[in-house]
Amino acid sequence: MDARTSIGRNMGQGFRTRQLEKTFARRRRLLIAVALCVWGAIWLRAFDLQVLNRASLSDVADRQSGRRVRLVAPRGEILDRRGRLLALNVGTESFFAYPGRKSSASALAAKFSTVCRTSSARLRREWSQRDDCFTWMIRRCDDDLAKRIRSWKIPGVHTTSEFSRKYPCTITGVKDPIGYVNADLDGAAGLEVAYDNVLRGVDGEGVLVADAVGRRFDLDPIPIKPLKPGNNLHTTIDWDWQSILAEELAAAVKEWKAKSGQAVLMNPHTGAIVALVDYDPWNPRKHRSKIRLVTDVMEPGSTFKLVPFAAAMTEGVIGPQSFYDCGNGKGKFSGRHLHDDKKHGILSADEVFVVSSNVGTGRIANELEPGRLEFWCRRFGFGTKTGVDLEQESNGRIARQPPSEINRATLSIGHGIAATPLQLARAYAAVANGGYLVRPHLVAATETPDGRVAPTPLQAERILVPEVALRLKDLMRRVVREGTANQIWDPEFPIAGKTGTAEKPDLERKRYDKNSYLASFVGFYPADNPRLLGLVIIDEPEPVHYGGWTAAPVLLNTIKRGVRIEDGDWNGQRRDGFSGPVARVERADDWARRLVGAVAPLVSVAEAQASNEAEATTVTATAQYREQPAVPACESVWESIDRTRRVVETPDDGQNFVWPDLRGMNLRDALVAARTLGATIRVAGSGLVTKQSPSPGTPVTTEQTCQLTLQ
Amino acid sequence: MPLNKLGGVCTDFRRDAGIVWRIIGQPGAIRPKNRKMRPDWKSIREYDPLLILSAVLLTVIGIVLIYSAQHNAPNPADRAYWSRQLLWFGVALVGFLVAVKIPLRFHEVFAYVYLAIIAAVLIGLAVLGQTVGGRWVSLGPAYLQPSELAKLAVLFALSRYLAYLKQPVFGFRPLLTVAALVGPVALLVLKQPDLGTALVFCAMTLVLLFWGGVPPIALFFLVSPVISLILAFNWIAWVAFAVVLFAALIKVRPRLLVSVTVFTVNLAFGVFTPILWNSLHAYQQNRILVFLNPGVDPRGAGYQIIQSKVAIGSGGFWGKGFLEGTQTGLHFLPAKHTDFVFSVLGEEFGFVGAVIVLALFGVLLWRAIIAGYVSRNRFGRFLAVGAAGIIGFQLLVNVGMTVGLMPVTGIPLPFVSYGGTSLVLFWFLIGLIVNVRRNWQEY
Repeated sequence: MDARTSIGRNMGQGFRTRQLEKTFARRRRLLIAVALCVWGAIWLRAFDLQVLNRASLSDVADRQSGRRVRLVAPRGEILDRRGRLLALNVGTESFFAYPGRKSSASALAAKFSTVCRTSSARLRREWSQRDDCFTWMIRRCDDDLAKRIRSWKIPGVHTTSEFSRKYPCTITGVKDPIGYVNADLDGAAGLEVAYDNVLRGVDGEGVLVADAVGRRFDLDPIPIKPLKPGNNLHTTIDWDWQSILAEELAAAVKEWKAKSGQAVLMNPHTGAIVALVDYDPWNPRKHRSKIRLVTDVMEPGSTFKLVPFAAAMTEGVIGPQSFYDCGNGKGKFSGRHLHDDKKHGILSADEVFVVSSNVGTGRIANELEPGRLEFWCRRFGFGTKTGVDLEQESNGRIARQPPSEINRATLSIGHGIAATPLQLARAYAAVANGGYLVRPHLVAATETPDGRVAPTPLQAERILVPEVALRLKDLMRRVVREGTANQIWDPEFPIAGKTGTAEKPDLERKRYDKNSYLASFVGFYPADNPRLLGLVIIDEPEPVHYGGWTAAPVLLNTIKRGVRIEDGDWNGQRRDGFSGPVARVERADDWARRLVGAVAPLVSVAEAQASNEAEATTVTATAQYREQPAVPACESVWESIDRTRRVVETPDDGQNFVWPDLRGMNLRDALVAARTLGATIRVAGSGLVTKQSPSPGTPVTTEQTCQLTLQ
Repeated sequence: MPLNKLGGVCTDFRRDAGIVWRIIGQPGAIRPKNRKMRPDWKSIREYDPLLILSAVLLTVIGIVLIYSAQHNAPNPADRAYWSRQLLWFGVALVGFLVAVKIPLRFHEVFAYVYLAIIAAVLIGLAVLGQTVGGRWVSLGPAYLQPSELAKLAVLFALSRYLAYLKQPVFGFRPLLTVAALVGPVALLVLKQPDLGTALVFCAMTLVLLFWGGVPPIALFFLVSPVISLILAFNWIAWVAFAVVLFAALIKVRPRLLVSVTVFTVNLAFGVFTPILWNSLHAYQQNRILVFLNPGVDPRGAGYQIIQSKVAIGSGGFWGKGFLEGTQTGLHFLPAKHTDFVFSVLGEEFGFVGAVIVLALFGVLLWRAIIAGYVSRNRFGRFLAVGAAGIIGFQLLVNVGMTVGLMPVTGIPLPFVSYGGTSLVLFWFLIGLIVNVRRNWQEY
């Protein structure tokens, strides 16, 4: 206000000036009024749009954002402990019509009906349901088909790449712990489902840009949220061992006309499962996702005798001077009889174990304090989950029975107890590794896309004093040398083990079936310094049903073949006469170096720790996988020099790697070859490699990626 | 002095020279002699903090919106728009200080020189435009839009002319002079082609003429041919308009010659435009449309307007939240960091955000008009109101476009839209308004 009065005072020049000020005041008012009108109009319009018409406009917005698409993150790869790919993603092409109405439904259907099942009725139905007329025509087709469809050049038909999951190593008809995924690439079985959230990436989001009327369509979506690939899984599985074990088991099942077979190989010191086979040739599709070694229970039979013996030895019930009357194959326990297969008289405690006398074991079990046998069952991990990293693991069960002599005796020979094969293997691992109960596991480490490796922590709990473990080990060696498993005695391959031949319960008639047996064998190799523990179960072998005859040779043969493909045997001597330098193929890739510390050799430090902690009866040791092997022979690089496969020859200077001739190889071998060269390959089709680009002889340094066509 | 009488444009050169000598010859005149070390509220209030605060808030909101608009742009280079705008904000603040510190008389003296220089640059662009490409002049790393500076030059020139006009402005000769000052520059800008900026010149001229004393009804007569031209394509609307015009002429009763001229021109535009237009081929019509407005919807379905309305409307009362807008984030909105930045605001901050920004603009315009009103400096009076006219018109056209009230023209929203030259220009205008306000006693 003072401004105006001062204008008046200072100007003070009479009527004309004052008149001018008046007109300016009027103009100012008018100007402000106009500005207010403009301002108010916009304000009202904003109110109209944002408050009154909000619902309808939001609908439009939602429909537009409906063109968001998922950017599918690649699932993580599963590798074995030598870096071979057990599960990988292969890009395939999928075709879709968008907007479908560009070409008529009948024309589209006519074209595509030659390659897949489709009908014009289906297309019309789908288009009537969706505004944008989006329809999948064919999904995940291979390269040739994709080329053919592309050559049709139908307007409105587009292609996009999708992943499909391949398992190059999987052997048809054999259930392995890798598992598989369903059509949407979600884990459905095995490690794929157990580690689904690790393997699964985080999908990104993108948007497919369309114009106002939705007629233009960009094939490459604009990412609005980047995708995150899944983590890789480095398993403890060794595919050489896995395939050998599968072959041997399958052969044995066939030979003994058995119903099925199961087997596991494990590093007793760490619990790392090297091979896990579930072979069920009669119902290959039934319970596809179930790995019975983990999910199903059985009555272990004689292999269970380990537990009463460990209990009796630790509690001081039996010594070298203890003798037991085996009653010539028949023993009475509180009015009921136990039978032996062979008639034995008076045996020492050790001999009872070696010949696997049921009566003798029953006597020993009855010398234990009441309740101690159940205690030792639990101490060996029966009745609780092993913690293996697979789904649907069973607890197993120890029957609650009145404390009578016969009940104690039957429990001691492995009846009246339900255990998974893996629990049994773990119990024997405790003997092999000097007294530690370990956690069986399949995954050594997970690796994030940016290369960070997280090793699985190891667990070990002492349950046996070393002396008892040593004594049991000795007994098991005698079982193979002079006892029930003497068929597999081979001084070159000293195995220690225990056989089992259990009558199978007939659940309908509630009694044991005298004609169906479960033959089993648990053993470890080498006997005095075990590196590998194996459990083989043959279900209902005919005509021979003894574990020593049917199951034990599977382990022996597997070890004979498997040790040969290692770089030497574990006693430090080469068995295959191979005299050149061991690592013929230089490792160009660095994955192995990154994984040092994650993938352990078969022998671990657990044993070394064990001797230090011998005094403690129960300790919980958590050791990380370490690089350092206990025995120098195991230091050698694990190379797949396999007689049955071609060796990739590369020049010795390590500089000029060239692409080898991959033609005729299967995908697995080609992948191994590429891995050893530190290069990558792209795959199309399935079967054997027929074409290769770049051609053999091209330096790897110039062409890092090789395109393979399989047929 | 014959030069003095050239169209009434050039005034007293001797006075001009004296002013320049006082400014340049005595630096003390620029800087107040006894500066206080501690600014008190009185001197702070001189700078009109309300005006500056609202301009700062608008610029900051603009940078936030630009970030939101382009934070997930497919091209990573586009994601840096907000930081470049922040950089330009720094430059703009320097421009603001310059505008505040340079005495108004300096601009007054050089007003026509500015206009001549800018006209020369625009002519140069028009001649070389084919090779250097259109609207921008490269200045090292930055690009300058001369048409933005032309707004300033025209504002200075018109203010100087109208401020010292001795005769009533609504006469044949003054109007012709105004047209001669604005016309060439406006046509050159139209040639670029930049219809929006050319329209800004017209709007500013109308506001200044009104402020200079032309009665509103006369302004209505002045723009009536243009309205006729637009309405000519709908004959009912045009007849209604003609009736209104006729009634206005009867009511006001200007001189007969004026009445007849106005009505004849309107009649001619209204009757012959459709005939002429329809005689053109479709591609010729299209070419004219594209020439007038290159931003005209290339896909033919009002895509930009629809998208903008959908974005604003789906924001609702409270908005979807910062970076949460789907229309923005999914790139449905066109030109979302420049012309359609208001749609981003509407979507992410809703009606509340829109009202806040409109209120800030309201404060800005109000303070500018007040500054123009209280000033005793005639030149300053026109400057401030002209600046308000530029800002208000751009606000109207831009926001009107985004909410679907106006056709699509490429006019940015002052302070908020991305654009370095534009931001510097508007901050310079704010500086001028503050200068006018501060030195209101300068007579």
